[in-house]
Amino acid sequence: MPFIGRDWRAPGETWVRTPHTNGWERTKLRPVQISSEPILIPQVSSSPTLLSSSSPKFILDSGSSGSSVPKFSLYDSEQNSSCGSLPGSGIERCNSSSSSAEDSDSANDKDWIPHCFVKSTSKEFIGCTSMSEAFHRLDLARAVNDVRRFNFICKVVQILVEEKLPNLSATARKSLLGILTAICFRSSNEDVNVSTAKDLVKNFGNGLDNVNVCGSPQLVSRHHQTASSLLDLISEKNIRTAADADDESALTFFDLPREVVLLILRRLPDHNSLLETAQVHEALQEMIDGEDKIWKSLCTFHFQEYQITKQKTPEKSWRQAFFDLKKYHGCRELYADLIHICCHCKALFWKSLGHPCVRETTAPSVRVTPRQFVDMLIYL
Amino acid sequence: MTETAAAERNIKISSSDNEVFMVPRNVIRLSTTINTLLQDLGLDEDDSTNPEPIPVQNVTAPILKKVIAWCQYHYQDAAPTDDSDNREKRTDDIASWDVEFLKVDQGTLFELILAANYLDIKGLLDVTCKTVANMIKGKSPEEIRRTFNIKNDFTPEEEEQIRKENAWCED
Repeated sequence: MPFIGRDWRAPGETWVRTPHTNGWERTKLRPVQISSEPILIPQVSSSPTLLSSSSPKFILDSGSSGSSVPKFSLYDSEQNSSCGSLPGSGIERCNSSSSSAEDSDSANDKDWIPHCFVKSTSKEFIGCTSMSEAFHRLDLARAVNDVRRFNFICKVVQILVEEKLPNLSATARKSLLGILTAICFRSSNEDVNVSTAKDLVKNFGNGLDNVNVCGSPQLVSRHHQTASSLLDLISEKNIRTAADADDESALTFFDLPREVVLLILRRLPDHNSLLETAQVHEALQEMIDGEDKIWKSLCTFHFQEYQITKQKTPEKSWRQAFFDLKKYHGCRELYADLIHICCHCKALFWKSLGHPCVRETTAPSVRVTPRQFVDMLIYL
Repeated sequence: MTETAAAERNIKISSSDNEVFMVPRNVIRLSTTINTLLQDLGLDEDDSTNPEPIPVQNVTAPILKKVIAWCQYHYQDAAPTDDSDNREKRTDDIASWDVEFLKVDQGTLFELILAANYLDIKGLLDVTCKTVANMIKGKSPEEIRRTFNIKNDFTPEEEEQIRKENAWCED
């Protein structure tokens, strides 16, 4: 008779639902389950209706193309079955709202800071950590909801979907899709960066068509489905806008005086958003074409003094000068928050959050650009 | 000595609908408009509260209340050091408190911008403008129109023309 260990009847892994990626997380990896204040998941608190109506679309293993009602029941049964692995407490836990489930663990969750150690003995940091682990431990999917970290994550995802998709393992692609889902949820809920999110999802879908992607054909087609339902989600008309339109007396964008609109336009950080804005309305086009100051401030933001003096001649407009400068030097990339690596304990961490380290205050750390971060994840 | 006296001193201001607010002197300092007014009128010379509230003509009570709440949270902030061009383009650099604070409908957000502009509160004007810039960024023209409920006044030919011009800029 084979030896059966003491825990042969172990209930197995317990899993917790993560609404921000619409996926599941293992309880034993639970530190990541916290919902600390700055990175609150908006779907849970603000608009539960939106989530419940949209989430059934993303059940990966539904596979059926029926209406949303059968999908919904499938979704419920899936939830029950995975809770069933832990009788009693498990069901209770999953059925209760996620916040109460989090309360029980809040004591040890409170002081968890997202960080991830890299396993490299040399000074080169290439392919030194697994992608899904890094994404998980750095809490990327949840960090999407933080405006300060959103741009960094978008850039990482952009590099991955545009260039690296054939190099990713199927699991890595799954966690990438989790982040994409989180990005789309945020974009559609808060009505921000809609085009950026769309482009990312489209590129992800296009990348899947490559013959060299990993994983079974079924998995690839499921990822295709998820990508297209994500596209549907962000293409839907935004709720918040509709609500605003009802109120006739409320101020609108064009009630703002010209000087204030100029202040807003001056805050757009790149030429693309300026050119897109110019196409919105004649008045805006006139402002962006006419006010050279906007382009001047764009130049001084992206380029150094000496670079500008080289390119800018009196007869050249600032707008022209910007595009010339961009051709020579490229635009500057700045992030409010970005990933650093600690030189002492080799942990990757978010700069604003810090990380647990014996020399926390004194250890020097180096910033990691999105491209360097991607290189750390993929070994070629 | 003067420091503590100033801290306890309250200033009365009234909104356009005649609601009176009591605001500590060093909180209202953030509004350059009111700060200069107090200095120029010599109201800083006595430590008592001004008997007549300062009228803030263009701002309604609910908005003024929010503006004061913002000032009360931020009055101890250090003045920004780096140059303004660098700071104003960094639209993702918004403190999480401000993000939560500015989760309001568009009408309120625009009124806050106007109030910050009128009262000349640099920090508030900066974050509110950045919030609007974030609503513009990363979107197609059609999506921007939808967000702000703007009617498209370009004909298809004009749109084509602009696209061509922009493409020319890029090379």
